[in-house]
Amino acid sequence: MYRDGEPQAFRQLVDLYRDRMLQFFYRLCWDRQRSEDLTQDLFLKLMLGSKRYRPQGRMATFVYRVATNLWIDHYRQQRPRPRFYSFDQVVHANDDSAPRQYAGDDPTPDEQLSDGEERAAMRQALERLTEPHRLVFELAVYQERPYSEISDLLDIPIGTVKSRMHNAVHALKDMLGSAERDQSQQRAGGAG
Amino acid sequence: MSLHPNSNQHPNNGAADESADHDAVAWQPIDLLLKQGTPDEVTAMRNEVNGNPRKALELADTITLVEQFRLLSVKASPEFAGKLQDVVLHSDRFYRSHFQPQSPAWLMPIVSGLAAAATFLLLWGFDVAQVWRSNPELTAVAGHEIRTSLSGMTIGDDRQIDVGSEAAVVDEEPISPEQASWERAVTEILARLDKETTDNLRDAFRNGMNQNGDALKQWLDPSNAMVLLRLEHELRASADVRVRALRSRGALAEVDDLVQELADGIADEMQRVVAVQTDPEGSSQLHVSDEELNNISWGVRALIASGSSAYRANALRNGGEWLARHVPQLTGERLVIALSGLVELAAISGQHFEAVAEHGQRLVDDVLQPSDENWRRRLPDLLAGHAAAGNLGEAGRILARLPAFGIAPQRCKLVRQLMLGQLRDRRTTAQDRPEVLAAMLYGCGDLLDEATGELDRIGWQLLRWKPTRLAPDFGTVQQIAWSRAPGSRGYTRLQRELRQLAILPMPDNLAGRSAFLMCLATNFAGHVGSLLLNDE
Repeated sequence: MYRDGEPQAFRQLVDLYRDRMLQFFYRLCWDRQRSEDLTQDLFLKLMLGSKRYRPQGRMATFVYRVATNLWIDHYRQQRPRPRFYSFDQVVHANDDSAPRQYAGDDPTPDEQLSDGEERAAMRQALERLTEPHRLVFELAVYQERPYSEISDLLDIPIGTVKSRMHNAVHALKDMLGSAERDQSQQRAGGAG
Repeated sequence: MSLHPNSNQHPNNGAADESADHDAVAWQPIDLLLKQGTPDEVTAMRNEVNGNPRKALELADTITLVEQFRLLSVKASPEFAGKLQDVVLHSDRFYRSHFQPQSPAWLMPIVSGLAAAATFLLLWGFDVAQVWRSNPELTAVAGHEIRTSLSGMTIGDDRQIDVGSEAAVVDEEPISPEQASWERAVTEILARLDKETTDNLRDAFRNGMNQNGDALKQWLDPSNAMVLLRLEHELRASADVRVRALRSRGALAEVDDLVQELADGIADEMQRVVAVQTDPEGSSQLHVSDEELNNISWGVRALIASGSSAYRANALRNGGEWLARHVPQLTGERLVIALSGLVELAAISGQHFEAVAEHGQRLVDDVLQPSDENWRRRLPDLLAGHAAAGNLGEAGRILARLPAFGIAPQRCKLVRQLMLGQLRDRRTTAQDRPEVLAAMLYGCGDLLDEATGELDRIGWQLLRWKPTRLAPDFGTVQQIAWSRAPGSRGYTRLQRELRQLAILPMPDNLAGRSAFLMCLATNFAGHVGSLLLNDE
């Protein structure tokens, strides 16, 4: 529509996707400033890419494809050191569990206060998932994209999408379960 | 998707066959929860859950997990909307340059041909108007459009050509030279700000560019503030009004006696300084020291704050003339100091209105117009780290009033935003000094971010410094006192502490005594509008 003579269409697109994309990037990088910048970059890319957009595909797929590629590019640039892991690996090894040292990644005191223990545990669990699993989890659970679309977006077989999703869910359950056990043990120890 | 009856086993505990074919992967409760698959597959999954308690438990577990994770989200910062607005504005320009329908390809050669023919005829001295004059019928038929298109075209002996405005038809609104120059300036400023180590100035500039606000309000508010200043100055002439204002906030009536005594002394001293600065022929010395400038400007403001009096009228007038005489040679912080006195004088008496308008515009241009020095080599003086915080606060207050003198409110606000950005910069570099906080509150209080609680935080932080302990820096105390309006948080506590100022020793210099007087006069001179309400 934007390309066909409706300049307002781009504004509508921004209004429609701004919050979803902000959350998408935030849960991938856990840095509000960075996720806002990435969202801004995304819309710039969408605007520049509007000349190449083919109206056969769904708009949502186009937006998510650009967003996913943008995140992958960003992730590759920001990764502090090469990390080798098998595609089978679901979570980072313990020594690799705090890998990304982004500037501004540290939670502020306000954030620390507002983040409850449970929230912090969930965030840590998500952070420990490897990038391919986290991306699938984000797209399927938060963005509610069908597996077929995720398969198309990430250019992987649909069976791989499913297995990554299942593995991610099991790993998250395990991690949260063990975190809960640790907390209850600590409480029991403290009481004793 | 095939449904494996024996699918309750976990695919792996850390390792799965990533290359697994779609059909080879058994379904899991998460697939049902996310309704992944065809309606038939979803129904089949649901049926299986109904018949298998273990699956049902797993599904419940998964629902809890997903619901928990869906709570993880972030609230956008106040700047986010501005960032996206930048993109949308950019997209409008992008649309015009890439997608807007172009004129047909055959039109350009025709237009070029016609233009060439017209030029040829004009160069040969062909009197086009004569053709129309010799064909009255044609003129009558052609009507208004022809007349207007020719009326502006004069081909005389000197071959001056003036094409009527209606002859030129353009698709887009033409950009004026001022707009073009402003757009170039914005580009240069943004390029420079991108090189800054912190984002405060860049964010401030972008916010200022994006926040247009209510145009009418931006003109009216400063104009109304001017009227209030004048009205309250007239009211302040009455000792009863002053004493009532002091008592209404718990101060002693005797404070007014001290203020008036101080004001008389300041008037006498100002007269002496102005006399020394003016030689017998009446021409003033060109060079003005910072001390003299501070003394006269603060003196003028103190005399206005103390209320008008016949005894001090001459000193006030001479002080104003002295400032107006010297202001053309001043720039940067010195210009701010001179304007601070002149703006108040112009507000209460209408004197030097033109000087304020002219040099106020210069103040705005000094910050926003790139030159060989400004922006290209360094930041403008008022945005540099060496600018005194107090002067930035004063500049903020002046710029808030300059629209009443005919200066574009958006530009004034943009400069104020930049100054606020500079002050924020100082806070982030651990210069959380009282003068910085006071300047933010005094000069840019209305621009502080209420959503993030910046206004409240600064207010509370300032309460850590008692006015008596800030002495003899009465400039900072004055900014704190005058920025805390009645009803604001911590106002009563501040009033209590300000009362203790009256027993402090008097500063030695004229500017210090003037600032001291203004602190004491806070209750009847510090808050525009409050005296009027109190009097009613």
